Amino acid sequence: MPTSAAAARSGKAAPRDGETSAEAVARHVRKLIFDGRLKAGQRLPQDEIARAVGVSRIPVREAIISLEREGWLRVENHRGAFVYPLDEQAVADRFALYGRFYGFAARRAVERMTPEGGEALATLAAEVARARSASAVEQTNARYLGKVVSIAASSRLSAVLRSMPPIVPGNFFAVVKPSAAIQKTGIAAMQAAIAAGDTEAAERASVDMQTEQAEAVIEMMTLRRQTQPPDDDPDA
Amino acid sequence: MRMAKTSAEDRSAGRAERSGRPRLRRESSADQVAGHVRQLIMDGELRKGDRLRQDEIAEELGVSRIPVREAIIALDREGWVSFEANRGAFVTGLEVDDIRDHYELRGLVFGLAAKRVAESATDEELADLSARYAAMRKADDVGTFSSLNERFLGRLLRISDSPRLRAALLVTPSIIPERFFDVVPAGRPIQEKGIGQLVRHLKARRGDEADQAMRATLRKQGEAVVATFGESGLLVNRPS
Repeated sequence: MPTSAAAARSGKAAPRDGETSAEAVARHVRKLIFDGRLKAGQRLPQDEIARAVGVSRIPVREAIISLEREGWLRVENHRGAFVYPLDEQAVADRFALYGRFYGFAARRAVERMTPEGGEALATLAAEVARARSASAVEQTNARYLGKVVSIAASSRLSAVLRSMPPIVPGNFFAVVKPSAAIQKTGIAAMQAAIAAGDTEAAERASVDMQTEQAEAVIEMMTLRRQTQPPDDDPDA
Repeated sequence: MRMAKTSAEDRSAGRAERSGRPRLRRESSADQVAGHVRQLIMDGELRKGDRLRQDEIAEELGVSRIPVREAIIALDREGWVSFEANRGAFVTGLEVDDIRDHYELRGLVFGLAAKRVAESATDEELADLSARYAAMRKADDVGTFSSLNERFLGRLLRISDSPRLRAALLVTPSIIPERFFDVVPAGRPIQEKGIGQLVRHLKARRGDEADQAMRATLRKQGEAVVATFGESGLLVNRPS
């Protein structure tokens, strides 16, 4: 754990615009877990986290409820909140779920397609293909998949996706190097299948793409563990 | 790669099994209220557009208004009623598309759990699932079948050992959390057949087939729900 005063001063953990205190806490905790500063089985240091984000303990408790629902930790009565491992299996499971849920979105989008929707998707897919920088990939990808989900018009799906905030903090495509290329190939395959009205191929494109993303993330995490053990934290 | 199960979880599971008590949620007052309202809607005593009279419900069931409000939040998430601030809760009618989507999504999650179990469960764990399936087939009454089914699925999830899969299921609350097999009589044969196929694929370690068996089973349950409610005129089709 970094010293909290330093973290609060750096302002990275503090709530951003449009973010509630609880959301800022949840984001901070996810990052601590992803960075290996909070380890599997460790108890969440609630006071320290409140200080680091610069909030009271109430939003910390709210964040814990969301984080438990998202599968990051479990709460034991009167004992506190304990971190679940973010190991290879957890990463693989999460991306497998993404693959399946967005695959389902693509399938429903084919079944519930409108003429305007079809045109919009073609335009957005072309923008993904043209994107050069990591931030351009992030934005165009979000717009494309957002459109697929909106054409799928499934309130149940939207609820599930809302409950799955990203496990990799920051811009995924900047943090995980090969991911932009994987996503561009995958979105192109998904769009080709959707345009052809092929539900199975659209679903498969999504599942395959997220399987590759999971492998890229696992590789990055493994590499990071080898090169910079989190125990060498200079702030510790 | 797979981490050891948390010992606390195993201990509590062990305790419940030794005591012979099904590991089911204790039914809270809110659960009872929700079950009551669902029944009123299914029986046609509450119809689409009707407003829930919270005081009356509380009085009828002899509970305070707090569990009634909790029940309304749950029913809103399940899609039975729509809650509007300052106006109250109204019966919405279930949308056919929502029901189908719901069972498809649960199938995707349980299918992934099944795939993980096929890949990494121990032989003892698979034998345990197999024994549980055999008990389901012998169940005399719907209530027993229902609780054995819930335990089978709970066990499958525990063996898959993935907090993130469990989390995804929590977000898709059942449309009929209690007495599913009473409400949907066609559900039991579908479930027996589906779990039977699943168990065979698991024993042969065929992950993709186990996945498909789960997905197909839940898809069929969704169709059975649509057929059941379609007869009662409870369903609405989304205006397109």
